[in-house]
Amino acid sequence: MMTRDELLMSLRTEAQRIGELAPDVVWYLFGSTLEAFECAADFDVLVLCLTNEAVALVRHELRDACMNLPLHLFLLTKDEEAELDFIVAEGCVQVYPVSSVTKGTFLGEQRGQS
Amino acid sequence: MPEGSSEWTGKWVAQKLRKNAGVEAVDLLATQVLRIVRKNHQPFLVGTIASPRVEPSTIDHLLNGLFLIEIIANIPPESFWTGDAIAFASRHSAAFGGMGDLLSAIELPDVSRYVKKEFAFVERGLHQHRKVSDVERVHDRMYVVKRQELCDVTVVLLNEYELTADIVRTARDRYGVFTAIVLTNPSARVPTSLASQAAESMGSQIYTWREFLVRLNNR
Repeated sequence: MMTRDELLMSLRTEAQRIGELAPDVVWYLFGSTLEAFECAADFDVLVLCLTNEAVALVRHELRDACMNLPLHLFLLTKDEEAELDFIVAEGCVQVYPVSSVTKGTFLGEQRGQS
Repeated sequence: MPEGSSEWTGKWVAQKLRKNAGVEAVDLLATQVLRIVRKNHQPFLVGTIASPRVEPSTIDHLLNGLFLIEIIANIPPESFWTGDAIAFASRHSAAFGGMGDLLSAIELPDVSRYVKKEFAFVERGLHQHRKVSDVERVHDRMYVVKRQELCDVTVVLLNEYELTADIVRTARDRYGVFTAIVLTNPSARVPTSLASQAAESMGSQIYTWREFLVRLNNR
Protein backbone atom coordinates (compact mmCIF):
# COMPACT_ATOMS: atom_id res chain seq x y z
CA MET A 1 0.00 0.00 0.00
CA MET A 2 1.38 3.38 -0.96
CA THR A 3 1.92 5.64 2.02
CA ARG A 4 1.18 9.35 2.14
CA ASP A 5 4.88 10.12 2.20
CA GLU A 6 5.47 7.95 -0.86
CA LEU A 7 2.69 9.73 -2.72
CA LEU A 8 4.14 13.10 -1.79
CA MET A 9 7.60 12.02 -2.87
CA SER A 10 6.30 10.81 -6.25
CA LEU A 11 4.33 13.98 -6.84
CA ARG A 12 7.17 16.27 -5.85
CA THR A 13 9.58 14.40 -8.11
CA GLU A 14 7.19 14.90 -11.02
CA ALA A 15 6.55 18.52 -10.04
CA GLN A 16 10.27 19.27 -9.91
CA ARG A 17 10.89 17.61 -13.30
CA ILE A 18 7.97 19.37 -14.97
CA GLY A 19 8.81 22.64 -13.21
CA GLU A 20 11.97 22.88 -15.30
CA LEU A 21 9.75 22.91 -18.41
CA ALA A 22 6.91 25.02 -17.01
CA PRO A 23 7.98 27.30 -14.15
CA ASP A 24 5.56 28.83 -11.63
CA VAL A 25 3.30 25.79 -11.52
CA VAL A 26 1.79 25.06 -8.09
CA TRP A 27 0.60 21.60 -7.03
CA TYR A 28 -2.13 20.78 -4.50
CA LEU A 29 -3.93 17.76 -3.12
CA PHE A 30 -7.63 17.82 -2.30
CA GLY A 31 -10.71 15.67 -1.75
CA SER A 32 -10.59 12.13 -0.37
CA THR A 33 -6.80 12.08 -0.63
CA LEU A 34 -6.77 14.49 2.30
CA GLU A 35 -9.91 13.35 4.11
CA ALA A 36 -9.51 9.57 4.04
CA PHE A 37 -6.19 8.64 2.48
CA GLU A 38 -6.38 4.93 3.29
CA CYS A 39 -9.77 4.57 1.61
CA ALA A 40 -9.24 6.95 -1.31
CA ALA A 41 -9.96 5.22 -4.63
CA ASP A 42 -7.75 7.77 -6.38
CA PHE A 43 -5.56 10.77 -5.66
CA ASP A 44 -7.05 14.18 -6.46
CA VAL A 45 -4.30 16.48 -7.71
CA LEU A 46 -4.83 20.13 -8.63
CA VAL A 47 -2.14 21.77 -10.73
CA LEU A 48 -2.36 25.53 -11.03
CA CYS A 49 -0.71 27.00 -14.13
CA LEU A 50 -0.18 30.48 -15.51
CA THR A 51 -1.23 29.71 -19.10
CA ASN A 52 -3.20 27.25 -21.23
CA GLU A 53 0.09 26.17 -22.77
CA ALA A 54 1.45 25.22 -19.37
CA VAL A 55 -1.75 23.24 -18.64
CA ALA A 56 -1.29 21.29 -21.87
CA LEU A 57 2.36 20.64 -21.11
CA VAL A 58 1.67 19.40 -17.57
CA ARG A 59 -1.05 17.02 -18.79
CA HIS A 60 1.27 15.70 -21.48
CA GLU A 61 4.15 15.21 -19.07
CA LEU A 62 1.97 13.36 -16.55
CA ARG A 63 0.81 10.67 -19.01
CA ASP A 64 3.10 7.97 -17.65
CA ALA A 65 2.58 8.92 -14.01
CA CYS A 66 -1.19 8.64 -14.52
CA MET A 67 -0.79 5.02 -15.63
CA ASN A 68 1.37 4.09 -12.67
CA LEU A 69 -0.70 5.84 -10.00
CA PRO A 70 -4.45 6.50 -9.89
CA LEU A 71 -4.06 10.27 -10.26
CA HIS A 72 -7.20 12.31 -10.89
CA LEU A 73 -5.97 15.54 -12.42
CA PHE A 74 -7.63 18.92 -12.12
CA LEU A 75 -5.55 21.31 -14.21
CA LEU A 76 -6.48 24.94 -14.53
CA THR A 77 -5.11 28.40 -15.12
CA LYS A 78 -4.94 31.11 -12.48
CA ASP A 79 -7.73 32.97 -14.28
CA GLU A 80 -9.98 29.92 -14.04
CA GLU A 81 -9.10 29.44 -10.40
CA ALA A 82 -10.06 33.06 -9.76
CA GLU A 83 -13.48 32.34 -11.27
CA LEU A 84 -14.03 29.14 -9.33
CA ASP A 85 -12.27 29.97 -6.04
CA PHE A 86 -11.67 26.22 -5.88
CA ILE A 87 -8.55 26.14 -3.73
CA VAL A 88 -10.13 27.89 -0.76
CA ALA A 89 -13.59 26.35 -1.19
CA GLU A 90 -12.23 22.79 -1.30
CA GLY A 91 -9.49 23.25 1.27
CA CYS A 92 -6.73 22.25 -1.16
CA VAL A 93 -3.32 21.75 0.42
CA GLN A 94 -0.23 22.91 -1.45
CA VAL A 95 2.37 20.16 -1.85
CA TYR A 96 4.77 21.81 -4.32
CA PRO A 97 6.60 24.10 -4.04
CA VAL A 98 6.74 23.15 -0.37
CA SER A 99 5.54 26.23 1.49
CA SER A 100 6.50 27.28 4.99
CA VAL A 101 2.88 26.79 6.03
CA THR A 102 2.47 23.21 4.81
CA LYS A 103 5.98 21.89 5.33
CA GLY A 104 6.10 19.43 8.15
CA THR A 105 2.43 19.68 8.97
CA PHE A 106 0.72 18.22 5.93
CA LEU A 107 -0.53 14.66 6.20
CA GLY A 108 1.65 13.94 9.19
CA GLU A 109 4.87 14.27 7.19
CA GLN A 110 6.79 15.51 10.20
CA ARG A 111 5.64 12.62 12.33
CA GLY A 112 6.39 10.14 9.57
CA GLN A 113 2.87 8.75 9.65
CA SER A 114 1.67 6.64 6.77
CA MET B 1 6.72 -0.34 -11.23
CA PRO B 2 7.31 -0.86 -14.95
CA GLU B 3 6.09 1.81 -17.31
CA GLY B 4 2.79 1.02 -18.97
CA SER B 5 2.22 -2.07 -16.85
CA SER B 6 -1.15 -3.05 -15.38
CA GLU B 7 0.40 -5.40 -12.86
CA TRP B 8 0.11 -2.98 -9.93
CA THR B 9 -3.64 -2.71 -10.31
CA GLY B 10 -4.59 -6.09 -8.83
CA LYS B 11 -2.82 -5.45 -5.53
CA TRP B 12 -4.10 -1.87 -5.42
CA VAL B 13 -7.72 -2.95 -5.85
CA ALA B 14 -7.33 -5.79 -3.36
CA GLN B 15 -6.05 -3.38 -0.72
CA LYS B 16 -8.92 -0.97 -1.30
CA LEU B 17 -11.64 -3.64 -1.37
CA ARG B 18 -10.48 -5.27 1.85
CA LYS B 19 -11.59 -2.05 3.58
CA ASN B 20 -15.06 -2.25 2.00
CA ALA B 21 -17.88 -3.02 4.45
CA GLY B 22 -19.64 -5.34 2.00
CA VAL B 23 -16.57 -7.43 1.30
CA GLU B 24 -15.64 -10.47 3.35
CA ALA B 25 -12.45 -11.51 1.55
CA VAL B 26 -10.37 -10.70 -1.51
CA ASP B 27 -8.23 -13.36 -3.18
CA LEU B 28 -5.63 -12.33 -5.74
CA LEU B 29 -5.90 -15.17 -8.30
CA ALA B 30 -3.48 -13.54 -10.75
CA THR B 31 -1.77 -10.15 -10.96
CA GLN B 32 -4.87 -8.68 -12.61
CA VAL B 33 -7.62 -11.05 -11.46
CA LEU B 34 -9.33 -10.95 -8.07
CA ARG B 35 -12.04 -13.06 -6.48
CA ILE B 36 -14.27 -10.93 -4.28
CA VAL B 37 -16.18 -12.74 -1.53
CA ARG B 38 -19.13 -10.65 -0.39
CA LYS B 39 -21.18 -10.70 2.81
CA ASN B 40 -24.59 -10.49 1.13
CA HIS B 41 -24.11 -11.86 -2.37
CA GLN B 42 -22.27 -14.52 -4.35
CA PRO B 43 -18.52 -14.11 -4.98
CA PHE B 44 -17.43 -12.71 -8.33
CA LEU B 45 -14.27 -12.20 -10.37
CA VAL B 46 -12.92 -8.82 -11.40
CA GLY B 47 -10.20 -8.09 -13.93
CA THR B 48 -8.06 -4.98 -13.41
CA ILE B 49 -6.15 -2.93 -15.96
CA ALA B 50 -4.31 0.37 -16.33
CA SER B 51 -4.70 1.86 -19.78
CA PRO B 52 -5.21 5.43 -21.04
CA ARG B 53 -7.42 4.08 -23.85
CA VAL B 54 -9.07 0.71 -23.39
CA GLU B 55 -9.29 -1.27 -26.63
CA PRO B 56 -10.43 -4.89 -27.14
CA SER B 57 -6.76 -5.90 -27.23
CA THR B 58 -6.29 -4.38 -23.75
CA ILE B 59 -8.79 -6.78 -22.19
CA ASP B 60 -8.61 -9.80 -24.49
CA HIS B 61 -6.25 -11.73 -22.20
CA LEU B 62 -8.68 -11.29 -19.32
CA LEU B 63 -11.89 -12.19 -21.15
CA ASN B 64 -10.40 -15.06 -23.13
CA GLY B 65 -8.25 -16.37 -20.30
CA LEU B 66 -8.74 -18.98 -17.61
CA PHE B 67 -11.19 -16.98 -15.53
CA LEU B 68 -14.84 -16.05 -15.94
CA ILE B 69 -14.46 -12.31 -15.38
CA GLU B 70 -17.71 -10.47 -14.55
CA ILE B 71 -16.41 -6.91 -14.51
CA ILE B 72 -13.26 -5.16 -15.70
CA ALA B 73 -12.06 -2.08 -13.87
CA ASN B 74 -9.62 0.32 -15.51
CA ILE B 75 -8.03 1.90 -12.46
CA PRO B 76 -6.43 5.17 -13.71
CA PRO B 77 -9.06 7.95 -13.70
CA GLU B 78 -7.31 9.68 -16.62
CA SER B 79 -8.52 7.21 -19.21
CA PHE B 80 -11.47 6.10 -21.30
CA TRP B 81 -13.10 3.04 -22.81
CA THR B 82 -13.53 2.84 -26.57
CA GLY B 83 -16.85 1.69 -27.97
CA ASP B 84 -15.18 -1.42 -29.41
CA ALA B 85 -13.86 -2.39 -25.98
CA ILE B 86 -17.26 -1.88 -24.38
CA ALA B 87 -18.90 -4.05 -27.07
CA PHE B 88 -16.17 -6.68 -26.64
CA ALA B 89 -16.74 -6.79 -22.87
CA SER B 90 -20.49 -6.97 -23.40
CA ARG B 91 -20.13 -9.96 -25.75
CA HIS B 92 -18.28 -11.70 -22.93
CA SER B 93 -21.03 -10.73 -20.44
CA ALA B 94 -18.68 -8.48 -18.50
CA ALA B 95 -19.45 -5.03 -17.13
CA PHE B 96 -16.92 -2.23 -17.56
CA GLY B 97 -15.80 0.89 -15.73
CA GLY B 98 -13.28 2.28 -13.29
CA MET B 99 -12.63 1.90 -9.58
CA GLY B 100 -15.75 3.86 -8.64
CA ASP B 101 -17.86 1.60 -10.84
CA LEU B 102 -16.39 -1.48 -9.20
CA LEU B 103 -17.28 -0.10 -5.76
CA SER B 104 -20.87 0.49 -6.94
CA ALA B 105 -21.14 -2.90 -8.67
CA ILE B 106 -20.20 -4.73 -5.47
CA GLU B 107 -23.64 -3.92 -4.11
CA LEU B 108 -25.42 -5.71 -6.96
CA PRO B 109 -26.35 -9.42 -6.83
CA ASP B 110 -25.23 -9.82 -10.47
CA VAL B 111 -22.14 -7.69 -11.00
CA SER B 112 -22.00 -8.42 -14.73
CA ARG B 113 -25.21 -6.43 -15.21
CA TYR B 114 -23.78 -3.27 -13.71
CA VAL B 115 -24.33 -0.06 -15.71
CA LYS B 116 -23.24 3.33 -14.44
CA LYS B 117 -26.36 5.23 -13.31
CA GLU B 118 -25.33 8.30 -15.30
CA PHE B 119 -25.24 6.34 -18.56
CA ALA B 120 -28.49 4.49 -17.84
CA PHE B 121 -30.23 7.79 -17.10
CA VAL B 122 -28.98 9.51 -20.25
CA GLU B 123 -29.65 6.57 -22.58
CA ARG B 124 -33.19 6.20 -21.24
CA GLY B 125 -33.85 9.92 -21.63
CA LEU B 126 -32.52 9.96 -25.18
CA HIS B 127 -34.47 6.89 -26.28
CA GLN B 128 -37.67 8.41 -24.90
CA HIS B 129 -37.16 11.76 -26.67
CA ARG B 130 -39.77 12.22 -29.40
CA LYS B 131 -37.24 13.51 -31.94
CA VAL B 132 -34.70 10.74 -31.38
CA SER B 133 -34.81 7.75 -33.71
CA ASP B 134 -31.68 5.98 -32.54
CA VAL B 135 -28.72 6.34 -30.18
CA GLU B 136 -25.30 4.94 -31.06
CA ARG B 137 -22.57 4.67 -28.50
CA VAL B 138 -19.18 5.59 -29.98
CA HIS B 139 -17.09 5.52 -26.78
CA ASP B 140 -17.87 5.43 -23.06
CA ARG B 141 -18.89 9.11 -22.91
CA MET B 142 -19.60 9.76 -26.57
CA TYR B 143 -22.85 9.08 -28.41
CA VAL B 144 -24.30 9.89 -31.84
CA VAL B 145 -27.94 10.87 -31.43
CA LYS B 146 -29.95 10.23 -34.60
CA ARG B 147 -33.05 12.35 -35.03
CA GLN B 148 -36.16 12.15 -37.16
CA GLU B 149 -35.88 14.59 -40.09
CA LEU B 150 -33.00 16.40 -38.40
CA CYS B 151 -29.24 15.98 -38.55
CA ASP B 152 -27.31 13.77 -36.12
CA VAL B 153 -25.86 15.27 -32.95
CA THR B 154 -22.54 13.94 -31.63
CA VAL B 155 -22.44 14.48 -27.91
CA VAL B 156 -19.94 13.94 -25.11
CA LEU B 157 -21.13 13.54 -21.53
CA LEU B 158 -19.03 15.17 -18.82
CA ASN B 159 -19.79 14.58 -15.17
CA GLU B 160 -17.48 17.17 -13.61
CA TYR B 161 -18.52 19.69 -10.96
CA GLU B 162 -16.29 22.31 -12.52
CA LEU B 163 -15.75 22.43 -16.26
CA THR B 164 -12.38 23.90 -17.22
CA ALA B 165 -10.71 24.38 -20.60
CA ASP B 166 -8.42 21.43 -19.89
CA ILE B 167 -11.39 19.09 -19.38
CA VAL B 168 -12.94 20.25 -22.65
CA ARG B 169 -9.67 19.87 -24.54
CA THR B 170 -8.94 16.48 -22.99
CA ALA B 171 -12.37 15.29 -24.11
CA ARG B 172 -11.54 16.47 -27.65
CA ASP B 173 -8.21 14.62 -27.57
CA ARG B 174 -9.89 11.43 -26.38
CA TYR B 175 -13.07 11.35 -28.39
CA GLY B 176 -12.43 13.40 -31.54
CA VAL B 177 -14.95 15.83 -33.01
CA PHE B 178 -18.26 16.43 -31.22
CA THR B 179 -20.83 19.19 -31.48
CA ALA B 180 -22.33 19.08 -27.99
CA ILE B 181 -21.09 18.71 -24.45
CA VAL B 182 -23.68 17.76 -21.85
CA LEU B 183 -22.98 18.38 -18.19
CA THR B 184 -24.57 15.36 -16.54
CA ASN B 185 -23.70 16.32 -12.99
CA PRO B 186 -26.79 18.04 -11.55
CA SER B 187 -24.51 20.00 -9.22
CA ALA B 188 -22.24 21.20 -12.03
CA ARG B 189 -21.24 24.85 -11.84
CA VAL B 190 -21.15 27.30 -14.71
CA PRO B 191 -18.18 26.43 -16.99
CA THR B 192 -15.18 28.74 -16.75
CA SER B 193 -14.84 31.40 -19.44
CA LEU B 194 -11.88 29.53 -20.90
CA ALA B 195 -13.88 26.29 -21.00
CA SER B 196 -16.65 28.02 -22.95
CA GLN B 197 -14.08 29.55 -25.30
CA ALA B 198 -12.39 26.19 -25.82
CA ALA B 199 -15.72 24.52 -26.65
CA GLU B 200 -16.68 27.32 -29.02
CA SER B 201 -13.32 27.19 -30.78
CA MET B 202 -13.90 23.53 -31.60
CA GLY B 203 -17.46 24.08 -32.77
CA SER B 204 -19.16 22.68 -29.67
CA GLN B 205 -21.85 24.00 -27.39
CA ILE B 206 -22.10 23.24 -23.67
CA TYR B 207 -25.52 22.24 -22.30
CA THR B 208 -27.10 21.08 -19.09
CA TRP B 209 -29.14 17.89 -19.47
CA ARG B 210 -32.38 19.85 -19.59
CA GLU B 211 -31.02 22.31 -22.16
CA PHE B 212 -29.84 19.42 -24.32
CA LEU B 213 -33.28 17.81 -24.40
CA VAL B 214 -34.64 21.12 -25.71
CA ARG B 215 -31.73 21.42 -28.19
CA LEU B 216 -32.67 18.08 -29.73
CA ASN B 217 -35.93 19.60 -30.95
CA ASN B 218 -34.12 22.23 -32.98
CA ARG B 219 -31.97 22.25 -36.12
